Amino acid sequence: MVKTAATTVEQAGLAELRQEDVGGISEITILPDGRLYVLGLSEAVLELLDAAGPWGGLSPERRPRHAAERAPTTRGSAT
Amino acid sequence: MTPLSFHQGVMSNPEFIPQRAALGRQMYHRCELCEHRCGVDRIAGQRGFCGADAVARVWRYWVDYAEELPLRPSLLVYLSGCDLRCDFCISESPAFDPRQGVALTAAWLDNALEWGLQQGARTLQWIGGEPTIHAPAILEVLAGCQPRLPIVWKSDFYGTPATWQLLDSVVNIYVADFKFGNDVCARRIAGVPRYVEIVTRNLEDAASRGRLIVRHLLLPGHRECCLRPILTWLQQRLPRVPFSIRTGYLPRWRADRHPELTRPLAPDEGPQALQLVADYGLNIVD
Repeated sequence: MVKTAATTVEQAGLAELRQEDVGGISEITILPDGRLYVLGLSEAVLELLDAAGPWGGLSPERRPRHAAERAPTTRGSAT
Repeated sequence: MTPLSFHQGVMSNPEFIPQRAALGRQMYHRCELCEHRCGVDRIAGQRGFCGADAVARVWRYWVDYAEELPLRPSLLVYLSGCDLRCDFCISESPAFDPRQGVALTAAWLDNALEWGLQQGARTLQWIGGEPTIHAPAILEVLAGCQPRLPIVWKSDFYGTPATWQLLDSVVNIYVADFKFGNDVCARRIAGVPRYVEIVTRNLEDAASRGRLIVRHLLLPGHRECCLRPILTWLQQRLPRVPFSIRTGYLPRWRADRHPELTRPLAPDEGPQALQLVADYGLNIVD
């Protein structure tokens, strides 16, 4: 079962995975539009990923991975 | 049971086939044959979720005498590659690996048809894996053959509307494998989203286009979550469509990922399911 660590950085979470969470992975497909299919994850991992928002993932209706990334932050220096 | 016959002839409209084959070939350039809608160029060798390129491969063929009564004996042609990932798949690895088997060509099909006819086959049944992901390749070989048997399309019904349109008037009978009665089981066991919405949409479409048989393999422990919702939907939407229930489940492939699928049906599960089907008053086909 996935253990989600209490430590968070902004909105990112850290999950500690056990063998049974990922040991069943049998297939990974990355489509040209960035969708990512991972077959064989445990239900707990799927729930964790679902709760975190769009991640590519199993669903065609989900946004492609690159669309879910943050826009680059502009940080100027006052010189 | 509603009798099914082939009084319309071997194929409803065989003259459509070359046109459809050409159209299908174009569809390979941006593949949206199934609802994964990968958008890959299979002619250029790109591969999407199913892993198939533009070559369909036959990994097994035989004449089967245990299909539903209106279909048998049936020459079954198994193509490798699939758009689902059912952990209990009885076909195991060839179903999911589209590189397995010999290339499907018109010459191959001609020989297979000759042999099948000698064995008494009354129908030619395309099966998988999933034939829908190879629809253009199948149309191409049909265009190069003498149409000698009615065409049966055994499918998981996860195709897109454009694909069904491609097959319209070419296929004589659709056999739909309605596997799951809810999206949770479909995603957990077969790795696909939006299953019920897509399959039910396609079932209604197929029923409006021609002959359809709906088949369900009863999974251990899935009577209430899968069988009952399927029966309820059929009763409400397609009550006259022939329905076939299979109670011969055996744990195969990666069934051990799911505790409830690691055993055959309990002795009472089959009879209880058959009773449930009877209670719904559907048009049962043996």
